[in-house]
Amino acid sequence: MERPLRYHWSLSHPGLLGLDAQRAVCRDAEESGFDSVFVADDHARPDPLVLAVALGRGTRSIKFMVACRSGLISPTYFVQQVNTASALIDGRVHVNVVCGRTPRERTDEFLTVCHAFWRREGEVNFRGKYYEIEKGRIHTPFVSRERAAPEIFLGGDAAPASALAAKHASCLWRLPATPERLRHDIAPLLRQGTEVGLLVSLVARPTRREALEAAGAHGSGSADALVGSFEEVADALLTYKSVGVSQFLFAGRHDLGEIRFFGEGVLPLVRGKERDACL
Amino acid sequence: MPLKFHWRLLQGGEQGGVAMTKALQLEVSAMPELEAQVEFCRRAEECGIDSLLVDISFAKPDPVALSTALGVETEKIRFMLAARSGIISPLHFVRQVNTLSVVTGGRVCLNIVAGHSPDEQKYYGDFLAHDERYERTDEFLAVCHAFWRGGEVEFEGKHFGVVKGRVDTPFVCRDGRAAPELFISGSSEAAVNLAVRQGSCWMRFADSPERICGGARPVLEAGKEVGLRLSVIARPTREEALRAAYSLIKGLDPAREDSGGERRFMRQSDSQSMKSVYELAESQWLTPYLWAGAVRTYGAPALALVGTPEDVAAGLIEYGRAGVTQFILAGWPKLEEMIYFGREVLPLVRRMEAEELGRGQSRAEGGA
Repeated sequence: MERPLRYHWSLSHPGLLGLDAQRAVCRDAEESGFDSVFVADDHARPDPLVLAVALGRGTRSIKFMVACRSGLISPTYFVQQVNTASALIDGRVHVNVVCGRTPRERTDEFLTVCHAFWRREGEVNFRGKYYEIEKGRIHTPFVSRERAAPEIFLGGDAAPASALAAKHASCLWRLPATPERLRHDIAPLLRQGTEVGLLVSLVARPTRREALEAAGAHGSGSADALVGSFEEVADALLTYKSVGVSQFLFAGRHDLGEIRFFGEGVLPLVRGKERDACL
Repeated sequence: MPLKFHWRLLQGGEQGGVAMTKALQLEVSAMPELEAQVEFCRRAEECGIDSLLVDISFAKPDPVALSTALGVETEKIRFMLAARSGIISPLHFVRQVNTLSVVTGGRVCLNIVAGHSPDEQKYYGDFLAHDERYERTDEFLAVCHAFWRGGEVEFEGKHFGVVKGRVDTPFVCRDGRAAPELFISGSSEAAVNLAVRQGSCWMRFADSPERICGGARPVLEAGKEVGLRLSVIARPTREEALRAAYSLIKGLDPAREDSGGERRFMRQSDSQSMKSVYELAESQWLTPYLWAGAVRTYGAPALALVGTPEDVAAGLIEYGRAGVTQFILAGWPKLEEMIYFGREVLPLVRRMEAEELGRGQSRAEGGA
């Protein structure tokens, strides 16, 4: 069964919080067909959950993909925070688990406990190597018209991340590789019912030359960037779709209008081609 | 120093205005009710309330997320977030607090609680006993202070270790403080020590002014403030105030009259302060205006100043003489009591403060 492609935008690091400016980015993303805005987690940035709630209060439909790591917070309290956020911004919360440098076993336990709370089957009891929960209860539920728990995305390229994703996540983020290579790598995960998404920079312009110029001028020309005309980028997305990729997390310069270029230039082409393919 | 007044935030399920027992609150307060709560914040701003206490409990929404949502829709009111040490790393906590401070334009202070229920703490994976919790909270705050001082943080303690820790989002404060005002709650010696070592203000449940005075001394001598958790029942006449007070414990909807639930709660608690206030409640009137009658049903914060606006203002000023400078207040119904307090009691308090100041000055001049 074919799922429609979904797109997420990575909120780039703005230095000090300019809340209004960031809200404007979120509204842009909202109007340009994005499912969510990704709020990263590192010491240089504001807290993703607080930022998500603050931005969520000024927007209507865009979701917020809140990054988290195990080891910083009790899973019980994490669920309480995420659930509260969902209640405050109409369920527009995804969770992105970063498991790069954290012990895999700990992330595994963390997510096991979280899911136990989200199942709402009564008291949570868990005894692991990293966490011990006794008769755990949280009264604030995850609030959403669509789901009883947030969608879990998981980042990390190695095989362990893939195993964790199969067990706990709805989607695994991969870095770009050739479509054939990806097809081969992700087939087992897709068979287990977990989606695969691509984490990639984006420079799309009306023509290839303009895209190359923009990429060159702003140093976005890394190997992990999709650079090209609207038509070329649309084709590339559909090629990835054909090997099983169903979501994209784009990074780019929103101050250069990248979100709008995508929403007005690329997305209509992709949708048109998707429709044509169905006919 | 003028007395500062904080109020408890309206909880979800509370805006009907009826007093709720602790047991009932556990059932109904799980959901934020943003519209009513934002309205409550705006009223608090008009009433001259300094900050609103946002509780932390497994049965309530997370105070950090809730304060964020309330903060972006208000302009003046501050948020006093309740926080505990066993559920989040100090680095992550500081980053959340700092981000909230930026988002609200500097309107964050903290109410540090050690936790009062060992059972509840186990929900979060926290298995430490009372005294160890204070020891851990001490370390937790030491690490937090290191982050608030800025730069790279190195810390090696019994409960926390930080290597090259950094939080780049700064703490922003309307009053220019480099770190949040820290209210430390509890009445045990451990709590007093913690307040002296790490806090700005020691918060305890109310008692008679004489007894407060004795306990406050070491804290005041250390240059820290003393604050009280207290309820207020102010009405135009003393008769009305008494009637309002007694109606809280009599003739309520039987479902709300749950002193059994409160007793159960007390048995499970290892909080010394809650237990001592509960024992106080044996005698209903501690002073002519200080009423303990509601404690057995509504918990320790229900110790109340009852009377006319003059009575209540005088009671607050008397605490002021005993060394108290901050109050976290509540009433029944929360909103109406706050509005009445802001309109009728607070102006009297300010007038009495000015008079005291005047007397103090004339005494000083007379002595010179």
